[in-house]
Amino acid sequence: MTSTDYTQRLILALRLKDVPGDRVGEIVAEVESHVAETGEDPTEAFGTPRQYAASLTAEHRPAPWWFTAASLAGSGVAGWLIAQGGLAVLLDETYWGQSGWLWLALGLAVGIPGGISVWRRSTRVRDPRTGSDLVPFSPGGLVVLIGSPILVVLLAFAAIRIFG
Amino acid sequence: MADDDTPSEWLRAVLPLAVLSIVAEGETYGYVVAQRLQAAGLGTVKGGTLYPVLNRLEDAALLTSSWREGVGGPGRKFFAVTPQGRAHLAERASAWRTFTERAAGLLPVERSTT
Repeated sequence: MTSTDYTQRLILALRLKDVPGDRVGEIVAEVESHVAETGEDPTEAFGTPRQYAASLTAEHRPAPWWFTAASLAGSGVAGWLIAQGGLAVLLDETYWGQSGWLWLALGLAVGIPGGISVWRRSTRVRDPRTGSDLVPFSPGGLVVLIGSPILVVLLAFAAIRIFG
Repeated sequence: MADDDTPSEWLRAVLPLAVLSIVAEGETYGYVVAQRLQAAGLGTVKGGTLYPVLNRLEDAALLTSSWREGVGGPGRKFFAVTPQGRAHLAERASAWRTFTERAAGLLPVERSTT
């Protein structure tokens, strides 16, 4: 495994353990610096990325399973309400006898707190040596994430208009 | 070379104190700490063991760290002892000595067969 490969996997493994971005950057920089200095193989010196991440987070308690389940269910409900509400607004119809705007607002009310908590947890991984991002923030990824559900609703709207 | 038959739990017990003691001699970075431990006969301490120890000492405010530019290579993380770290070291070093002397007093002495 090359050093870059190793650090990429280590970043991912630490992310999955909910380690804050600054801390991740610090740990990764230590590994890179040590390996560059000694010429050792990173796996030889630190264990596999998963082992090292697990050893560093042994005392750290992960979020309980019901929290993850509730966030997933919440985002599912929010997405459903936003899609139904959006479609109803676009078609100028009602959904379950209520205005599309009401469902849209309800969907946002359910979805925004969860979205904020995800956003707050996703602190950037900063390299302590240079202050730059170790994982460059990808605007493309964000566009796909936000754009694809909107696209689905618009396609559904177009399909209903054309074939309905 | 180190006694590689030293049980790893002995090393785990003394490592934080040994690392603190090395850093207390002068500001230094991980690789040098590992070399000093090896030179002292404590064996090869891998990065995966050493850095978590350094970070725990820093979390306990016994050490501070700062990144400095390396020569040509990536930066080095230098560690320096805090006054609190020095006090902790003095106290624990004498406690460790008492402890190991008591333990040694309990163990059988190797007799020469003359």
